[in-house]
Amino acid sequence: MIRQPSSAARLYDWHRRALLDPSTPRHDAIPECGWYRCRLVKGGPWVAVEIRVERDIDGDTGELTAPERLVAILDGDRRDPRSIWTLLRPISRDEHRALLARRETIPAMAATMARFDLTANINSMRPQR
Amino acid sequence: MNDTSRGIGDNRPPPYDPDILAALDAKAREIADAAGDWMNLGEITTEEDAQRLNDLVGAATKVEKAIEEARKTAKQPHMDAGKAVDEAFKAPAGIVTRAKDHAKRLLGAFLQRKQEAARREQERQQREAREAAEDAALLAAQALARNDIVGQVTAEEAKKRADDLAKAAALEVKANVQSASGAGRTISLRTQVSAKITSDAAVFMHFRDHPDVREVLQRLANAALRAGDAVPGTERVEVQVAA
Repeated sequence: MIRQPSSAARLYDWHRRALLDPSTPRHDAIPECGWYRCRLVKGGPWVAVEIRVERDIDGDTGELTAPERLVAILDGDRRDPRSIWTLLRPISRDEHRALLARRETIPAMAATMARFDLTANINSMRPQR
Repeated sequence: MNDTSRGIGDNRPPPYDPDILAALDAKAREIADAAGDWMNLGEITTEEDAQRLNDLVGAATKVEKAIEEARKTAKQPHMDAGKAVDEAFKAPAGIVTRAKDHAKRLLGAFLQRKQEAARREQERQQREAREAAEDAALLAAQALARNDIVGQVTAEEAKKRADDLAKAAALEVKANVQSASGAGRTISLRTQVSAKITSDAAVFMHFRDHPDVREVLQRLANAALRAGDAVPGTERVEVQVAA
């Protein structure tokens, strides 16, 4: 087992490159850390997703005590990132934050498994001042 | 006892569902109100605002489509009824039009023969008037030479008759057919004028500045350029619009 924790630069390298070049190839079975968005149903609202690494580190040595694990945080739930990896489109961290904040002003976006009816949410499309 | 369930005109409802119209109208006004809020901003300066406004455009497009579909659905029974009326009246209209066309063709042939006969009669009258004028002039000259006062007076009268004949022969002759009963209109030959194009280029040059010609040229040039063809005499113009 590799004992040194992966650096942030290495963990987020693919995400950084994909933001710069959307045609960056991805391996369908290998999720990468970063911030993403997806739709869970056709015509549904955007859902913000974060894939992050979770690891157990020995406080004395700074080394890993177990393999690093990737987890996807989607709509407040923890998910296996492999199950949704191919649906995800990379976005910046700021966009991810904005997407999460947008649910405060467009409450209908919380219904992630339903088609989003633009005509029923016109008030949400007014300037937020 | 007052019955308040019925109002004026309720036995002649509008030719559409007023509830559907009211719902779509409310939605349209809601969108217009939201658009007004954006116009009050004056300018979009953030990505967040642009995305929200983009969603409003999407909502407007959906409502537009819903209105158009509701309009077509409401109109369809009336279109079908109109079509049925047109179909029902087509047969007698076709029959009478065809009968009238045949009758007018027969009358036209008759009128042309009548016009030709009138034209020949007019030529004969003009010839007769010329001969009478020549005879009157000869009589006048002879009477003058003889110092024959009676002869001069006779010659003047002959000239006057010749002038009257010439006047009558100069009148326009137009053949027509009157009504037998008096209730119908008089029918006559009407000249229909059309142009036979003998030189496409010359006709085009004559009309090249006409607005209709310019409109056709613009339409053809737009279509050709969009299809990737080069069109001589044009420059490519590109304008960016939100779509």
